[in-house]
Parts: sequence; C-alpha cells; structure tokens
Amino acid sequence: MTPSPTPSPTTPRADALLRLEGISKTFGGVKALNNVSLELQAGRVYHLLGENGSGKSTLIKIIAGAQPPDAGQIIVRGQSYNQLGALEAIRAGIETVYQDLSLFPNLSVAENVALTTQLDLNGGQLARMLDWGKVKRIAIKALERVGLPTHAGFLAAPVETLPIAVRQLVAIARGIAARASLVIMDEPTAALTQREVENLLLIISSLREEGVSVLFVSHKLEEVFRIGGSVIVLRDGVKVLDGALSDYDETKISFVMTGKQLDQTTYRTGQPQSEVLLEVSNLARGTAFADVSFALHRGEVLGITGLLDSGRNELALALSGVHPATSGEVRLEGSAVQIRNPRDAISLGLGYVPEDRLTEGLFLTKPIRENTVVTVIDTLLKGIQLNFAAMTAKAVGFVKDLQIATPSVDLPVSSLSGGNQQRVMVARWLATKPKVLMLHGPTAGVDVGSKDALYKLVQRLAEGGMGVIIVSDDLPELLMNTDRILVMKKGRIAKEFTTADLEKDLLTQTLLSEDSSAQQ
Amino acid sequence: MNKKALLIGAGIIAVAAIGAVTYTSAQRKWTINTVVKITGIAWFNRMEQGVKEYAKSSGNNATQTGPAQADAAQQIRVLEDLIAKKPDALAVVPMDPATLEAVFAKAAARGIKIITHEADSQKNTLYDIEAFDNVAFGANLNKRLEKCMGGAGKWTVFVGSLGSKTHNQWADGGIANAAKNTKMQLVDAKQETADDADKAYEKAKEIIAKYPDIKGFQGSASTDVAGIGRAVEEAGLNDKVCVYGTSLPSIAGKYLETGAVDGIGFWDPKDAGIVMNKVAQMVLEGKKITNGMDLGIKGYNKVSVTKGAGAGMIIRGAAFVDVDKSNMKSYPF
Amino acid sequence: MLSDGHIRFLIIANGLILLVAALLSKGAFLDPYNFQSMATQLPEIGLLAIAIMLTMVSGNGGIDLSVISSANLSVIVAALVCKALFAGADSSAQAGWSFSVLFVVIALTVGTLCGLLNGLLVARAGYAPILATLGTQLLFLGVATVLTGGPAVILGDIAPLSSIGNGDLLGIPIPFLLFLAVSIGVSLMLSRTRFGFRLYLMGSNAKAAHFAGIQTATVTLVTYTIAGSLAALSGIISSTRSASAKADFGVSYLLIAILIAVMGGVNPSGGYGKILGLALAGVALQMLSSTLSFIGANDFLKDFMWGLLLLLSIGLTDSSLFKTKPKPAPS
Repeated sequence: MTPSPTPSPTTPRADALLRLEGISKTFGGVKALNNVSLELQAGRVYHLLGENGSGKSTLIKIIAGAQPPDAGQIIVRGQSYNQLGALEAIRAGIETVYQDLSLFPNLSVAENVALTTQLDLNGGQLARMLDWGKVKRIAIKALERVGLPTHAGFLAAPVETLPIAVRQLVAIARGIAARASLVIMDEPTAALTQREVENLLLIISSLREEGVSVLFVSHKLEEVFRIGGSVIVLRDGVKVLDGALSDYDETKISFVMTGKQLDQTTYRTGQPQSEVLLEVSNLARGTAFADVSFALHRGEVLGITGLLDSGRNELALALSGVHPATSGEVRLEGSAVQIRNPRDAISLGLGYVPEDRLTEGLFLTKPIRENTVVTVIDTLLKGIQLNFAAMTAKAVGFVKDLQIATPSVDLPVSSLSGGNQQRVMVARWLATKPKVLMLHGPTAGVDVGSKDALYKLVQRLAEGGMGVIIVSDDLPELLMNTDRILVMKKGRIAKEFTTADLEKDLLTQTLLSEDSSAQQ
Repeated sequence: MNKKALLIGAGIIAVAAIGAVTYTSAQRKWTINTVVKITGIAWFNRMEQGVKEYAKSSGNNATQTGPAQADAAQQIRVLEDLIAKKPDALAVVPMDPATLEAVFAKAAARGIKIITHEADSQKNTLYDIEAFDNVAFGANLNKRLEKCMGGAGKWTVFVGSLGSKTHNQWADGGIANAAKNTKMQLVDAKQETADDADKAYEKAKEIIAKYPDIKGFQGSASTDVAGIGRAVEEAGLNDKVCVYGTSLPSIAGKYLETGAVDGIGFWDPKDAGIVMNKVAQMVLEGKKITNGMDLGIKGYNKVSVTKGAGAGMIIRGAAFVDVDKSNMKSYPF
Repeated sequence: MLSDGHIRFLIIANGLILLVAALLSKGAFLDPYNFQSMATQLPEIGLLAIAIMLTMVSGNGGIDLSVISSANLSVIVAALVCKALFAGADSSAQAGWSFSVLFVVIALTVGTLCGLLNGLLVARAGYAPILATLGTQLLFLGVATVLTGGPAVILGDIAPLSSIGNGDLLGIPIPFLLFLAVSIGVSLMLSRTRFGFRLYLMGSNAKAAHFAGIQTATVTLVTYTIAGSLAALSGIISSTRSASAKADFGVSYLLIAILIAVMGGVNPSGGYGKILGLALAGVALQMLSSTLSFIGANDFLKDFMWGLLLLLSIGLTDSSLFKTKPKPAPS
C-alpha cells in the first residue's frame, strides 16, 4: 500500500520558527526518513504521530541536533543548515525532552534541570565555577511549573534515586527551564499519572500563550486530541498528513498511521467465572501499602490504578515476589502461599510483565530466544545440558502465536520495535503457563497496532480461564479491557468499580480527588 | 581492510626492527646467560658492566637478562625461555633459591651448566659464588651501626623480601650481633621492601612515626638505605639516627654526603658478575675450582671452597668493602 | 555472532606472532622443547584468567583480585599440613601417593573456601567485588605470611606430586593438559548448562534476571567459589613446578591474567566472554613473551608489546564487546 504524500503548504512563511526541507536519513540500507518537509510556527502545538519505525524518533533527533540528516535543509532563525549541532539547536531555542530522559543519574535534580542553560551560557562547556544561586533559581522556577517540590532536599537529590515518574517530570522541567522557542517532548507522559498529565497540559497551554511552540510525540491518541493543535503523521519515513487536528478523529488518525482500521471501542469479551482464583487478605508492606484485600476470579480481568504514591506499583512488586509483602495472606486456588521471590511466583503460577521492559525485563543484547525462554529454562533440558532445539522451537512458537515481527529468534532483542519487545516479554511469562498474569503498564511506549494485538491477547487468555490483573495509569486501557477496577490511594484500596457501569469521568475524578475517601 | 593490513604490517615491522637491534650476531665460543633478580636497578646494571667486560676479554657470548619485576615467578619464566634456547651455561642470581630447584634440574638435564650467586642454600647448582660470609658481613654492618648509636637505643632491620636468603642472613648476622648488647633494642624486625626505594621510604616513615626515639636502621637491599635516608632527612633526623646497609655509592651517595646515611657496605657486583662467568667458563672447559685458588679478580684471590647444600660447592671470597663519606669517592659506581 | 571478528583477530595474531618468531630466531623457535616450555608456563596464569573471566561475566563489576593470594594460601596450608603429617615417613611410593592426594585435596578445599568467602561478601553482604576481593587478597596474603613466617615452604621432589607441574604425557606437559581439561569443562558449563545460561543473563542485566526468577545471589556465590577452586588448581601447578609454596609467589600474575581475559573478549561489565577467545589470547601473549626472551630482548619490552597487542585487538576488531551500552535500533 503506497503512502500518499500530502502537498506541503504552498507559501512558506518567512517568519516560521523552524522549517525542514527534503530531509532524508538512511540507516544501514533502511530509509528512516524520506524527503520530509514541514514547517513549525511560533506559539502552536504540533503532534508528531506515527507507529514504531515510522521515523518519528529520527526526525526528533535531527531537529534537536543529535543526528545529522543525509539530505535536506534545516532552516531556523532565517539561517539554513545542512545539519544542526546540538549546541546550535539549543542556541536557536530548541529544547528536547527525550524519551529516555537523558538525565545524568549521579547529578542532582537542580544540576540536571539547569544543565542546558549553563551549557548555552558558556559556549558548550560547563563553566569551571557554576553560579549555584542562579542554578537553584532556574531549577526552582521550572520545578514549580511541573508541580515538583522545590525544597533543598529535593534539589540536591541525585536523580537516580527518584522513581521514573518523578524523573520524567525533572526532564520536562529541564526542557522548560531555558528560554525555549520550541519544546520537543517525546512520549513525556509514559510514566505520569492523570494528575501529572493534567498539569502538563496546563504547562503546554501556558507555553503556547508565551509564544513557545511545542512538538508533542505520543502514542496516546486520547491525550493528543485533548491537547488539540496541529498534527503531522509519518508512515514508513514519509509524511502522510499535515493539518489541523480538529479536521480528524481518532479513528481516522489511526487509519492514516497504520493504513488499517482499528477496533477502538471495547475489547472486553467473555465473563469472569465464579471460582475465586487469587485471594489477597490484608496484604501490607511497610509504609508502601497496607490492608489490601481483594479477590480475583478465574477468567476475570481486574484493573488496578492510582496516583504516583498510591502503592499500586509496590503492590504489583509484592505479588510478583520482587519486593515481598511483610504481612498478610495470599491464597491461590484456595491454598495459602508464600511469595518470597520471583522464583516462588513462577512456580506458583503467577506471571508478572514488568513496568519498564528496558531495565527490568529485557536482556537487550541477547537473542530473542534467550529472552523468551529464560523463565522456563529448567524444562528445556537434555539431561543436564541445554536443549537448543527445544529452546528455539519454543521461542519460534511464541513468535508465531504473538506475531512478533522478526525473521529469526537468533537476533538480539534490541533489534525489535517497542511493541514487539513487549510481546517478547509477554511470551516469556506465557511460557510459564501462569494461572494469574499481571501486566504492569503493558502498553507504555507501544504503537497502536501492537496495543490492539496485546488487548486481544489479554482477552483470549481470560477466556481460557487465566486470571489477569492490569496495573496501569492508562484509564481508557482499563475501561476497555477490565471487569472491575480498583482505585488505590495512599497505600490502600479506596474504591472498587464495576467497569461496565463506569463512566470515564467518574474514574478520573475519583483518581484526582484529594479527599481521602479511602476505605478503612 | 587496507587500514587493517597497514596496522598489522606496521606491527610486524616494529617487532622486526626491535628484534634486529637486540638480537646478537653470530655465535661465538661459549654462550653464557646471566640472569639477575630484576633488571633496571643500579646494582644489577653494575653487574652487567662486569658481564660485558668479561664478554669482551674472553670472546665468549656472555649476556645478562632478568625479569622486569621482583617476582620469583617471573624469573622462572625468563629461565624457562632461555633453557629452550639451550645456552652452554646459566649464571643466576636467584630471587628465591627454593623456587628454582626444579627449573635448574631441567636445565641440567638439558646439559646446561648452572652457576649461582647469593644462594648458598641452592642444591641444584654446580658452584654458588659468595662474595664473603654473609653472617659475618651482616654482623660487621651492625657493629658499625652499634658504634654510631653509642651502643644503645632502638634499631630495626629491613630486607628485600622475607624469602631472600642472603638478605635474611645479613639481617640475622646483625641481629645476633646486637643481641649481645642488652642496650640495643630491636623493634619491628625484617620489614619487606621488595628491593624498592619508595617502599623502604614508606616503611622508614612508619617506623619513625611509631618510634620517635628510633636510633638505628640496617638495610639489606641496595635501595633500602636510599629510601631510609630520604625518610630520615625529611624528618630532620640526620644527626640523631644512624643508618647503615648494603648499597652502592651511586645509590646512597647523596645521603652519605648529608649524613642521612652514615655508612654502607657492599661488594662490587661487577666483580661478582665476572667471577660467575669465569667460573662457568672453567666448568665448561672441564676445570675444577679448588680451595685457595686465585680467580684473578680482586677479593677472590684466595677463595675458600666448601661443600654446598646439594652436590655442588660454595666458593667464598673476601670481597667486602666498608664505605662511608670519607672514602666513597674511591668507588665510582 | 559478536565474538567472531574477535576470534578471527586472535587467530591471525597467533599466526603472525609464530611466523615472526620463527623468522627472527631462524627457525630455532620451532623446537618442540620450546613449545613444551611455553605450554608449561601458560597454564598457571591461564587458570587464573579463567577464574577472573567467570567473575567478570557475572556482572556487577565482577572481578577477583584475590586469586593469587588464595592460590598461594591453598598450597601453603596443604604443604604445611602434609609435611607435618608425613614428617619422617618413609619415601615409599605409597607414602608419596598419599602425600600427593592429600596435598591436592587440601589445596582445592582451601581454595574453594577462599572463593566461598568472596562469594558471601559479594552476594550476601553486597560488597562491590573489587573492594571485597581487594580485602580478601590482603587477608589471605597476611594469613599465608604468618603461617610461613616469610620464606617459602619447601615441598621437595615427591612423586607423583611433582609430575603435576613437571611431568608430561606423550610429550604434552601435564599442566597444559589440566588447563585444556578445565577450559573444555568450563566452556561446556558456560554454553550448555542452565548455570551458564543464567550466568550470562545475570551479567547482562542483573535486575531483569532477578525479575525473571533467576536466583542471582546463588549464581554469584557459585561463580566466586569456582573461581577460588581454579585459583587453588593454579597454585598446585605453580608450587609443584617450583617445588615450594610461597606467600607472595606470582604477584605479577594478576594483571597478566586480567589482560588475558580482556583480550580474550570478556567484557568487564558482564554478560560476555568465551573460553576460546581467552585461550587464544593466552597463547598469543605467552608466545609473544617467549619470543622476546628468545631473541634476547629486554624484559620491559614484553610489557610494551602486550600493551600494543591489547590496543590492536580493541582497534581492529571494533567489537561491541568493549562497549558498555548496547545500541538500540533506530526508529
């Protein structure tokens, strides 16, 4: 299916903030960008959409000066460049919040936030003597805007000690700390909860009012439409759409992005059975969470959500054995069980697809096969030796079942796109034939096509009698896939909803409300 | 690919050039390899002078080599590589005689003659050359130290390594001498310096810090007094602390001048090197060394030949020298 | 596979060194005695290199700086105990065998315990490997020095113990056969067993390994323990070669062993390393060293040439083994 390029605006505006003309980039034979031209005006919000492999990240890196294009021109501030250096991009007022955050883990929050302003000030070098007062002031201003604390302890905290959601906000703070004319945000809400997202939307509005443009890259179409503005869609390295968001709806955009129709309303099929599969009673771990009790039925899909400090992440880690609970009881199929480590969880039949596949799940440089069979290696032996044929067969089987796009299971898992990597993670846990499967943020950084496939898979598993728990902050995801949703607040389960009767607004409200309507 | 080939080519040329420079030319009469404890220090550089002198005067193919580090394991490797080349004789100054017994046996089995120096406990050697009686030498150093200290006070002794036979003999000789005098108090004896001046310096500093009233140091490795002298000078104790040890004027000279080191004793490693090679030559020519023989080198004009630890003999000379500020100029090495 | 280019480089390097050595020595280098001599010198360092390789592969900044000290301590304890038990015993063949067997058993046991201590410090107490093994290196050295008082413990010539270090089978020196056997054994363990599978994954991403149900503490513990046993084996070879056990023998071996591991393609960050590469690197370095001795070159030149070879191996193979972060695919 050949993509049809949209005609670019006929009269290029002389006062455009940034103009790209005929940008192309090839990586080892693959054309990542093919003759892409676009124009960004001041004070507007642009959404850059596209599936994994569409060329979005490459385009961002070229604009930010992190990579040179193979062909084309970048025109910024009236000057035409063959390639933009990172420093020149910063000088031109282009700030970037990268998907992987690009923070310095060992440096403090204040240092990270004020970093690019210091670089710009001193011609690309960090000055020998930093003006700490200035650094603090810049940092405090930016942190306030994103809703992070500004006391001395937080400013001095090394970034690596902070949870991922906080780090993401720090990265955004850095992006707005300098006097930018264009702020690029690549998947900025992946780790943020509703409240934080709301805050971010306010920031974007205020930036727009100040004449700053925002280039927003996100998979969450729902957010994209919420923010509004202009939209640019890339598909297979070619620009296929460039216009106002108000002219389109989610279905049309998905279609343009993938070239195919996607089912967007609800995925929930089947009904939970009456038999209780997993029963959690008064589970607690220190100050993280306490008094957590719920039941999961066979064939049920249960959603758990909450804000950053709700304890939902810690609960998931406790049930998976990574950070075991300190008190309480868990019963699986009627018998009491102890989950002291992931090994226990696996042998009991509890699978856990972790939140951050890059650091908690994948062995990036190792083959897809190894990544898939690691949990069940004990069953793939020939005597005391590894049975390579069986290992390969198992991996290939999952590649087929989950439609993982790869020519061979020998390739390193880093060669796969985000969506396919996530499928490998799911495969790894499906291999253990779990009775209960927990998925933590399963579609973070995953393209629309893979999301669809994963949702369908979850439903299939539930129909087969598996109990599924989805821990997520993606409310539409929970509404589309679950039977019940538990909302946690400050370490306790605050409310339980039956999804079929639930309206999205009520869920959002419950999540965001400050009152502790926590059930005692 | 071209860059690769170029780099490899350059590498080969580099090795070949270096090899050509160091590889000696045509074979001459006898090939005698001298292997020392460690190359690059003044002591064994002086010995190499002797080896070179001998090579010139005798016309034999005599060379010296040794490991870059003071580690018995490294010396074994150097020896094994030489044995593979099958020289006629090996003249060795062992780092630790016990560790070389097996490799010497291998050499002997291959027909290579073994001569040693500073290793009177060595079994698998034909002749071990000793410049003098080690215990007496150590006692002599200690007597001079005792005199300087006024016969009383705290003193200590350093060794290159606890495994070094001769160093321990000198140290024990000194200790035995001091034991006769109850006013001489031995503290923290036999600190190891690995034949390294910096280490001796560090150890001396520690001793001075630990015993502010320390009055005497006896060094064994040639670099010991240099390190000790430096520490004594830094602490401003030149006149208060006495330092004696085995060393060479070239190493301890500047401290002898300032008085940080009060006296040294040594034998000329050059002469020892010549004697080793000469004895090796005599063995290769089928001659025997007998008691009272004159080997033609000063200090070895009437050698004593006694039974060694194994089947070989110990050749002992009388070649020690007492040197201090007054006569050091006479020994320009 | 990533390491193919690396192995190719090492094979070519070995070939070139051999060629140059033969040329410079006018063929004398190719004497079988010389090969035997080299084959005797390599194993004790090679075994230490394997021990270090295993700790490096395990990740978490894995390394074992105490291998020399535990090797020496193992054989010192064995020598002292055996000499005490067999003092004044007859020199019959039977006594010789008893002595030998007991010596080997005690040495391996002590070495394994040393490794176990390292493992406990790293896996259970959570110390950084470089710090833990730096501490045990000095600890073992101290104990060994106190036990011996300084000088070497003389083993003397005891059959069949001495043949471990000095004997040969069909012209191949026994140390080399032991090294070969261990290399093959460890290689099979790494590539064909669950332990090896888990070790590589843990070294590549310890957090993900934990999440995937790998008992990382156990794997780490076993790794360091094995390293200790290998160190003891190295000590057995060294001590029988020199017929003595010394507290500070072979201190210069540590950096050489690390060099062999790294040049052999082991990534110090963890998760990578093949025995084949290590063995080829060891052979290359040994041949280079012997060549220089053969042509009478200065021993300092050896350090220079080894450094040059390491830099060439990094520059010419462009192996991502030497990089710490894998590059993700462009999107």
